[in-house]
Amino acid sequence: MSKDRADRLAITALGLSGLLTGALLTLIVGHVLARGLPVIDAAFLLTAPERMGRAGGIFPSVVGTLAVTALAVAIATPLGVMTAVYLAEYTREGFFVRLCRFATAALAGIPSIIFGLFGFVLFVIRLGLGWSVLSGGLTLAIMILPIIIRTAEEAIRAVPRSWREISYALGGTRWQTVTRVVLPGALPGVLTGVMLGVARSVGETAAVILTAGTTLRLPRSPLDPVRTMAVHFFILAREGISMDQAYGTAAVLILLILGVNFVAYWLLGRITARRG
Amino acid sequence: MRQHRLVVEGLSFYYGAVRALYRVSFKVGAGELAVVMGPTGSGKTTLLRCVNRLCDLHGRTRREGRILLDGRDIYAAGTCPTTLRRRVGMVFAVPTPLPLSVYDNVAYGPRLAGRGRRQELDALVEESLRAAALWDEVAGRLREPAFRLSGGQQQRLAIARVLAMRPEVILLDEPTSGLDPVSTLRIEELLRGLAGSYTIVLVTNNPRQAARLGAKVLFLYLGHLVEQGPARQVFSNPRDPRTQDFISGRVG
Amino acid sequence: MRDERPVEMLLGLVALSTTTALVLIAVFIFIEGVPVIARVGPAQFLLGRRWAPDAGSFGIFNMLAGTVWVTVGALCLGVPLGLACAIFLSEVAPRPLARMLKPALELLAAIPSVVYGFMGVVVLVPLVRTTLGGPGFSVLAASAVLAVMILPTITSITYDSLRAVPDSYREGSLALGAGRWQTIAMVLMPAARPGILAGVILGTGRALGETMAVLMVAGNALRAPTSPLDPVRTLTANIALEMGYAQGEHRQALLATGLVLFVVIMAANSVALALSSRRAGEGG
Ligand SMILES: Nc1ncnc2c1ncn2[C@@H]1O[C@H](COP(=O)(O)OP(=O)(O)OP(=O)(O)O)[C@@H](O)[C@H]1O
Ligand SMILES: [Mg+2]
Repeated sequence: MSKDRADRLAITALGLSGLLTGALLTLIVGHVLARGLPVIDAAFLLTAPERMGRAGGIFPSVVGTLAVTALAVAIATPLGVMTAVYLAEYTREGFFVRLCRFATAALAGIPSIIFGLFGFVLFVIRLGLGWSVLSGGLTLAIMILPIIIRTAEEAIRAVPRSWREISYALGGTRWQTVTRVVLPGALPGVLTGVMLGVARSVGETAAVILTAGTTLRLPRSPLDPVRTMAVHFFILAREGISMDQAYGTAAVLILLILGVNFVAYWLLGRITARRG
Repeated sequence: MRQHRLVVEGLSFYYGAVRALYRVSFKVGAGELAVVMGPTGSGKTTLLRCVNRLCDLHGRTRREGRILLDGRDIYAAGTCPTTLRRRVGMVFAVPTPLPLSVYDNVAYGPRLAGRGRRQELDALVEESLRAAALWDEVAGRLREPAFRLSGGQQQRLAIARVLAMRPEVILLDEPTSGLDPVSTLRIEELLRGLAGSYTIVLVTNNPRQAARLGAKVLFLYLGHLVEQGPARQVFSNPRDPRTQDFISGRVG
Repeated sequence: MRDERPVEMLLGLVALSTTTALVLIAVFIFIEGVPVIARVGPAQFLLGRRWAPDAGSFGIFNMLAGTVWVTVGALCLGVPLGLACAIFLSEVAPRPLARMLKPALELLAAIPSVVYGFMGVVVLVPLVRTTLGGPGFSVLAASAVLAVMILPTITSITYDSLRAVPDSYREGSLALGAGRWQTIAMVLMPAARPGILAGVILGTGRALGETMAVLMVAGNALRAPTSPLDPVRTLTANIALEMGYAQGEHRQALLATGLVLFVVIMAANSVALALSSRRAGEGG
């Protein structure tokens, strides 16, 4: 076989694998939406389920998902942004920074079931919070912390040095410079990280099922258990309760996650555009 | 004898292993306009950054010698760099507006210093923009993003931003390097007007600009302060052959 | 001038949050997991074949084997595909196509694992059952689902390390008369090797730890598999299946299982991190 033939063959194979990836995404999303979209309407989103989810809507799960996610993001965002500010603005490379970076990367690699076990032991049992919005939110907060730290730090480092120097030269303290110039400049990137954290929280199952529970009721307080949409979908599908309802829930989930991701990358695109 | 506002004594500066300044000493009187000229890489920016302690922001640098502002060592223990920078304003080589409106750019410094009252700020912003000869051009566009201004306007905005701090000393690092001849002349005119009320140290790599501003001239060459004196003397009768080469355009 | 040291100290303290979280996770998983392992004996716990919580026997060997089978299968399917995909994106695809596929890859990573599991159940499991026989819920089905799930990890890290190879390498090789494929195989891949390895290890970690998708398609039989068509139960699936009702020592045994998983994954990820920081160090 000639060199050119071998070359062309290899390139074709590579091309096929690339297209296969694109096709997989299209197929998965397409399949779920094709079967699920017809199920979705206002009533599906806004009414309570009937007969264990065989019929009716998914309202409690929608609320549960939003509650757990909002709590996780509300906790992880300030912690993550402050960490990123410290790493990017207040320290020089050294042992402490290496330690933080290692911990962040290691945390990002821990599987969600371990977060679930940890959250179960600490929040549900030891702290006595039970299966609840609070336990689930706290667990997810730890899980998405690395995502927020990394995107925020990147965004902060992308803020032009000249802006900082101007602020310092005008008598700005470090904190003034951070809050008035650096963070506003890094905002789109920070929000991207938050959005990715939202997407991760919304889609998470293993960590949530062990910490927030599976109770299909509208939560009245942060100490009430909830069944998030991902968990609801899992139970519907696994126990074969209702395929239609499962597809409908999955479609809501996918639309939400796609939407959040689009916002995230749109924001990211705006920064790259600004930097030229 | 006139009181010297700024005194630099035996200043040396190192970026790690690279030495950028060699025992530089000079004095600038209150209200005087001093021009530091020198070819690229001679340490002009480094010198300015030492005077308002922006060089503190770099890691792994070392400095020897003293810099006195009104007789006080600005590097003495207990001196706050932030307070110092409010007294010593800096205009950078590349005109860079902060990503804010024209108004907020000028008001940035006073706000940091806690002067946030609306009326006071309005007056201060107008006064600073007038002093920087920019008011007539931007009076109607104060709320517009500052990056929409032209390069020359942006550089005058940077000067207005510094004037709003009511500093004692103004440092300018090649403020006209990116501008066309007309904008350059406008800025030079403006600086001549400001001299007297402010102590000014202007850095330039253009000997003709130094001659035009006709003030005290310092020639920095590879980190050494080779020559200093009144412009007339330095240009008509330089003592050092390197100065001669530079002003006649053979170096830099 | 206001003193800013308190702010700085506060930020430094907050910056320790991930370290604290990591330590807390390790501590609690150890506290809860170690007693059972100590009672049963580490060898018996890891190599014992009987998992009968009611009878107080806790041997995780079969599930360990299941995890290994499923993970190795996922790597066999996912690594070649992931590498090919990365090479395609970085070296072959025209820019506009690459710009479309890259976000597709990110989205693939954002799809919840339950959706992957579900797709496995409705598409893959019947396919395996009808074409290859067996129950369909199998090592093969689980590996295939996992292969897709680790694809984004492997691809994006490999892609980044290929992009980091200087263009002069490509030009030099092409100038010497090498074909495109030869350049890729003999110049670019070796140059990007540490990064590729890091990507594969992180992908392995992801496969080892994946729970819900595997649980849905693997069949969860408590036997060590002998063929790719056998149903299996992985360590993670076992935790998720039994944690809901486990009490007392049973619960502790599940946490001990988590401990084994935690140790393995931390070790793997540390290696991957060391590899990728070495790459960063070399690149300057
Ligand atoms: N951050 C830095 N790290 C290391 N070396 C530096 C740094 N900044 C400047 N230098 C070095 O110090 C010397 C003086 O630089 P400086 O920027 O002060 O020169 P300059 O006279 O302002 O030049 P130009 O006219 O090009 O602006 C140069 O040799 C330069 O390479
Ligand atoms: Mg300079």
